[in-house]
Amino acid sequence: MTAIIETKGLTKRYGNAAALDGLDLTVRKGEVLGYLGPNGAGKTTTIRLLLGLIKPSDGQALLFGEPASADPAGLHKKIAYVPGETSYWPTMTGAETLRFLANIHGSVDHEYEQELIKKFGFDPDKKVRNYSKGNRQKIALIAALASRAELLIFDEPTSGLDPVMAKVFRDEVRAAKQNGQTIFLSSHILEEVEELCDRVAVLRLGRLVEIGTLDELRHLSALTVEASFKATPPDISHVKHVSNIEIRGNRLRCNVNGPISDLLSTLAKAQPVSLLSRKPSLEELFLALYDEDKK
Amino acid sequence: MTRAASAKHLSVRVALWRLGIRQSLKGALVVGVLVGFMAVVQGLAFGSTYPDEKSRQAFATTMESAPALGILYGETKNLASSAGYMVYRTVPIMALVVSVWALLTTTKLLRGQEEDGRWEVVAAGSTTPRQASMLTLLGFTTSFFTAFLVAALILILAGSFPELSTQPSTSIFIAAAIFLPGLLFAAAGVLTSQLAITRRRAAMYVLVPLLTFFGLRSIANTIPDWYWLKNVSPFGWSDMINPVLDPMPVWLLPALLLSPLLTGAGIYLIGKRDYGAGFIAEATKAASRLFLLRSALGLGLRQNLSLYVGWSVATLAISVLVASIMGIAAEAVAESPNLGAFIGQLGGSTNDLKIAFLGAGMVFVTIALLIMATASMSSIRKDEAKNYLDTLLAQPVRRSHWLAGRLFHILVATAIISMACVLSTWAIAGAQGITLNLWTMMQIGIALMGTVIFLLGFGVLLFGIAPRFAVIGMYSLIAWSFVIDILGSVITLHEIIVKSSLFHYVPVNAAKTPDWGIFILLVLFGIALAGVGIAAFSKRDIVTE
Repeated sequence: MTAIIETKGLTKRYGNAAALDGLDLTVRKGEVLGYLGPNGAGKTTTIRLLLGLIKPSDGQALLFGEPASADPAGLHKKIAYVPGETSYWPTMTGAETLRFLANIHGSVDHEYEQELIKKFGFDPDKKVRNYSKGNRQKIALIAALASRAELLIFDEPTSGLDPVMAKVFRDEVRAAKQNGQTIFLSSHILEEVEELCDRVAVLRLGRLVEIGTLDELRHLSALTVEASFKATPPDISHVKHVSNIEIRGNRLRCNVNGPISDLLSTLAKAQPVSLLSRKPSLEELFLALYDEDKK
Repeated sequence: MTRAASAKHLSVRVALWRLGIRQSLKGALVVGVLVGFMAVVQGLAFGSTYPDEKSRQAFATTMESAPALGILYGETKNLASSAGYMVYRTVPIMALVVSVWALLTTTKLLRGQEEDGRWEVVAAGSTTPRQASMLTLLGFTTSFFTAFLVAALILILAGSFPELSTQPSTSIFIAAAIFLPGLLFAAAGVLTSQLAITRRRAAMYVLVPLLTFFGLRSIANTIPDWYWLKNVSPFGWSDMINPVLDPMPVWLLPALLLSPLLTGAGIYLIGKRDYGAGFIAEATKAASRLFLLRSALGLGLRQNLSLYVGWSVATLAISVLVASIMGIAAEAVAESPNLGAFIGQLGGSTNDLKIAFLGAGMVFVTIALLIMATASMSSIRKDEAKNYLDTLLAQPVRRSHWLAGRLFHILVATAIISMACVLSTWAIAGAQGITLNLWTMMQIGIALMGTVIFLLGFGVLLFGIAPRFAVIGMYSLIAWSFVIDILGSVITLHEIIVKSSLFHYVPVNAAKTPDWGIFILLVLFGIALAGVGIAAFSKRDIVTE
């Protein structure tokens, strides 16, 4: 499948500190890629490199097969971007801003734009300075989605949106995916990523630590086991492949990385009242990776 | 209150007071040093031009007979001493500079921060908006008095030079006359920051009366029958303090009484309004106006139209003012060979004093054009610092086209103003029976652009390689040129230093065809610097705040 985004050893250094370190990443046409990482991991740096706002210290980024920094303006005709923190001109109205963004982008589906204005409950007649953060975010979302660009880059797109509007956003992203648009979604809202994304990439300290579908990542990570007992839970700290043990009263929770048989036999001896085993959520996966970072 | 709670409150107060100082002290020190330096240089210039009592008396007599020369400077009285001349040349202009700085600072501290959302964090802390504002203002007041003390100290130290020989009390009076209107307009800024919803408007609400008061003072200085107008202008009070011969400390009182009143009113209103709101209501909704929204450059023009219009009016006003008094002033100065020679040197014509006055006026017009170009460059940098450029460049907008286009706007705007200035000068001169060659004047209008293009090129180069230093670099070059120009009229400077001033290349002689060789060189250098700057800008990271 055609690669819409491809980075090869993409690196950005500020002095001796690497904000992004040798990123190799491919986003295929029509896919929704979730881009995760703790604060300062290099997510926004990646996006600014892709948009040509900053220049790589090493490596390269290809968009639609062309170097991102060669002709950014030409490439941006096929891209729409929603930043986490919008910067629009305070004296202009929402309608003026939308018209301006449509004019300079060069493509807009006016009918869809009106539809989005209604769906997001956006009042375009106010001046930008009088909008709340969420409403300013709506301008960026409406402009980006209405452009029907081939590649949509979202950087924390729902920050400031209420849950109802966040759902509207998710619906529209699903619609965009159905239209064959490619979506690069950097987000801290893991439910959003879990719900929308085909694949997830996790960044830590400027390096890509995991990439794959959620199922692939789950195989890589621990199974979560929860058990409750009539009395104090047994000591499982010596059991192989077990980590992140939490004991609260008579309840025990832990992760298992590898064969589960040793754990089961230890738990069975203590006669559990209930036993539950499930795949980790994205949040648990993310926290597990983040914990590694902290260690 | 427990000891711990008391200590906590004390630290909040100290922190806010320090915040106010931190945000105003740098500017205050620059203003203080500038005021002191300019005053001392003017005093020394007088001592060097008129070394003996006889020439000083002759100069003073001549100037007294030409009140029109007080239109921009002080009253043309008591000018037989270096200190008197220092007051004449420095007090009104520096009072204007201090006032503008003061009002811009208080509106920045009290409305600008709120507008940018930074004040919300402070106001949400263990303080009230009113207390936080008062403490921040206390910080500003500390900076303001530091500026005053710096200027006063420079004047006192310079007063011990035999060329100046002024008493410390006189030096303090001179500094007070310069800083007092600033105190009043700072207080007005406190009040308007509660009325307006944006810092820009808050500043405009003070700036318009400020310029009006300066104009009233100028009229009072020029037309004897309207001398009473001084009584209603803070700049008039500043003149009437008359620090050298007959100090009138009573004229300190109006500003000293009105400043706390205005500040008090502003502080009272702080507690009476919602965060982010102002007492002058602004419509939250507006009909869409789509003009100039077809391109990024169109938007740049739309966003800067008010800046261009404001500077056009100010520059044209200077030009008209100078042209209007050209005839009267030249007649008055003609009686004094020394002054005639001085003006002739400044204005680039020793034969015709009217032309020399016009030449001196051209220097002011050029300063206005250069500052306008720098202010426009500052707007370009602001677009980058405030992330607006991120928004634009994430769209199909080419960096080099955007920057070159913005520069083109600045050039067209300054060229139009330059041409309007020379044409208005030509027309006003004609109305006074002074014949100037229209074609020569138009050529001067074009040639004035040489320095503007060079300065812009220099600014673009800095913007390309070190964006944070672009504007400060441009202002520094203008300030350097100004200092060299003034020093050059006092002492003999090395040719290289003289040639490093932008004003060295201003075609000041209205009767002479400009030196097109110099113009072409300036333009070529400017274009080359801008070319390198644009290329560097295309390759560098976007640097936000």
